[in-house]
Amino acid sequence: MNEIAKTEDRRRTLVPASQVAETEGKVVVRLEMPGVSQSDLEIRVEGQELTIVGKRQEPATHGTWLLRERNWGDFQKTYSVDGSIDLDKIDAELSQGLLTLTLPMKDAAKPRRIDIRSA
Amino acid sequence: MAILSWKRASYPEAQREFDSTNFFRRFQDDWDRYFGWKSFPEISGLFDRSDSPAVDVVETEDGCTVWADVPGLDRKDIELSIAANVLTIKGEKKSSAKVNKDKDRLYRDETWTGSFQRSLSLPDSVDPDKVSAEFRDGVLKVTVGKKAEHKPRQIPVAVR
Repeated sequence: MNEIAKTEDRRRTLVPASQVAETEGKVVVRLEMPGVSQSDLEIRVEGQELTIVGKRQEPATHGTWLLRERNWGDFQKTYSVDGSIDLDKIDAELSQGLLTLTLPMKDAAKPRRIDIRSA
Repeated sequence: MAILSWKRASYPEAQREFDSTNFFRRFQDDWDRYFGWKSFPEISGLFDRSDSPAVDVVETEDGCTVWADVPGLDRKDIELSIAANVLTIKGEKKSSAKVNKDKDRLYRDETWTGSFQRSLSLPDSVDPDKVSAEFRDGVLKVTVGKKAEHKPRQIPVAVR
């Protein structure tokens, strides 16, 4: 019984740690995924949902494990995107185990300054 | 024969030794599930080590391999040193968002930042002169070779 429960735990989907920030008319989402290669990563937009699906490969080794703290397996994260984001202009970059998604806001939604006319 | 009178064989449950690591791990998993916490690799649980990178160590015939998850770090942010069989990984994880307090807003941050240092005791058989390290996709991989006398070797036996 115990063994079955343990297997289940290892199989659960991982969720990458994220950071969401807004800067100068853009929303920047950063996701930590060390050891994930570009070919194992898929980013898709369906309707108003942005989904990041990927897989972290288990390191190929034949030795004895002395310490095992890192996790691997499939991971997924879904964000529902607000109407103020321009879905056609989403940009993604993977570098040093960090995925950076840049979601530009539509011009109408960007914060802007309103000048005051003097009478 | 008092020594043999323990009838543990009929109680398979009692035969198992108390495994504290797994016990707490399972407790933490339950706890995380209750609160809807998810982790990758481990970020927000009750007993989580959240202020240092997750590390894997594997011992093979030729030596030891150490992997450490250091997403977003640069090569120059990490300092490695080895003394006898103790490997020390030192570094600083900076926040990847350059937050400008006037203009920018940080909505959510599950990542950790700060300085870290981890010393790992590797098996005595490792040779501190045979260390190599590489850095790829936010993972630091350190390979330490073994001393020649600890490597398994074939001794041919002549049959007469």
